[in-house]
Amino acid sequence: MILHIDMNSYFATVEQQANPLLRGRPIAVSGRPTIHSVVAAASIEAKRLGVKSGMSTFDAKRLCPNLIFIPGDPAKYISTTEKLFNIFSSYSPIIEVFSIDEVFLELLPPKKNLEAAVAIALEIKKRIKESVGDYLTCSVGIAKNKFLAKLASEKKKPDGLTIVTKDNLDQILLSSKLSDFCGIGRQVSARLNALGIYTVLQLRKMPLEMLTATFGNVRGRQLHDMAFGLDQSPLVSENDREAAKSYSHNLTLPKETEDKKYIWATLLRLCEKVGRRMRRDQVLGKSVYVFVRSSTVEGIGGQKMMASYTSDGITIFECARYQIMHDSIPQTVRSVGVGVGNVRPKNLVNGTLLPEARRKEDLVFSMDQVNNQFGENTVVLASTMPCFNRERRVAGIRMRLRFN
Amino acid sequence: MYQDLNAPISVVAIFRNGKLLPHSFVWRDRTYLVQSVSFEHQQSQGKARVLIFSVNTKNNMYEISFNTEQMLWRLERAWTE
Repeated sequence: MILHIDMNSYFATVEQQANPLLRGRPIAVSGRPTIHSVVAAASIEAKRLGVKSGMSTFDAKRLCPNLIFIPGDPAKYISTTEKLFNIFSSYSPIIEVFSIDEVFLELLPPKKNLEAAVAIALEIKKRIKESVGDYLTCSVGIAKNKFLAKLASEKKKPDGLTIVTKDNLDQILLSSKLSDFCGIGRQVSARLNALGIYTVLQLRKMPLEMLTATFGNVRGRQLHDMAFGLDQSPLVSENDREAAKSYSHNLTLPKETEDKKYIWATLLRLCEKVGRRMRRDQVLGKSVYVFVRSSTVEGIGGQKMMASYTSDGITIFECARYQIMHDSIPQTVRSVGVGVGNVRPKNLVNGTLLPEARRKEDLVFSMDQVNNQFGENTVVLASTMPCFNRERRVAGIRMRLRFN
Repeated sequence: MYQDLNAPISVVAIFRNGKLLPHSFVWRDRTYLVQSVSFEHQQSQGKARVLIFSVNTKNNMYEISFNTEQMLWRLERAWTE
């Protein structure tokens, strides 16, 4: 038996929990209202007026003139998520973190039955109210697999509890839109529409062969199974996740900029973030890809192999900069991204014997130690300071937690 | 909107059942009685663990923080309409 727990309007509700003067009012968690930004989360009241996550703050304000913008507070949300996960993990050792506000829980015997699952769902709701905040609500879906549990949790918001049984399976599936299915986004929807499939019933009737011919064996079979509520995928806890094949970071700047010093500083900071994640996972990479784009999505970029395997942010930066410094960088830049591929475990790569390179490794290791002990960004490269000054108090939309 | 204040304050707090509860605070010679704590979270600031309380007085909401390393209270920000 699987539970999918989805915190309702998470960031916005946390803000309303913290500040009772915001309750019952349309609010949007975003970057600062004075800069170009997007809505990271809208309160239930704002959603009723049409405000959605991902919408630009400009469009949101036009739609809802009374909308109150609250600058995102990542530390607050991370701290809250930790409290929530302490509650969730007391019911099962098998938890899949789907996002900062969504988890799957697999119940094991003797709790692997519907009655126990419902009791646990109600208890979780109660404990969230008692120990995290009485304004926080979650929607829970209970089903025999992940796909159905997630679909069920979407059915009633806020504060829902939906159970999928043999008796209501067809009713729940057939009353859903294709876009309600996790895994059917805009592009897949368009391709299904091109096949004449607009409803779940039509998807059901489409022969498997036709779907696999269009979408490939794996995806075609998956779409076919979705129509019948089938899903064999197991829960993947953080410890079971496959090793990453590449590491990347990209950033949409708070506003367009012509400041080259700031752009290089941002690229260096992203390279260092990539390197730090690679060092934490004990891997090295050899290829570097990079892009710099304007708001019209015009831009430059490329991919290049480095001389040797590395996880050092500065080496990654030098390779990335080399690829774009000879091209004409857009006059105004809106987003920057960098990634490292050809990743191998560190213990499979011969280490360097050059004293200069060893000193560099030691320095990076020491910086990591300081940041591990005293918190992220306690020690940073001085050249990255321009981005820290500008990005202060911008919503952390790309936050992702790892629970080890 | 929130107004950042980042000012040192004096706080009367109660330790009860392993929890720290602010009771009142003094800012600019005025005492604010905490009527309720609506939220509590924590974050790291370098080596220090900082506890942040969202507290409600009769008329307004404030965020106050307690740095467990330095044992200092600060008024972080206040809500202004």
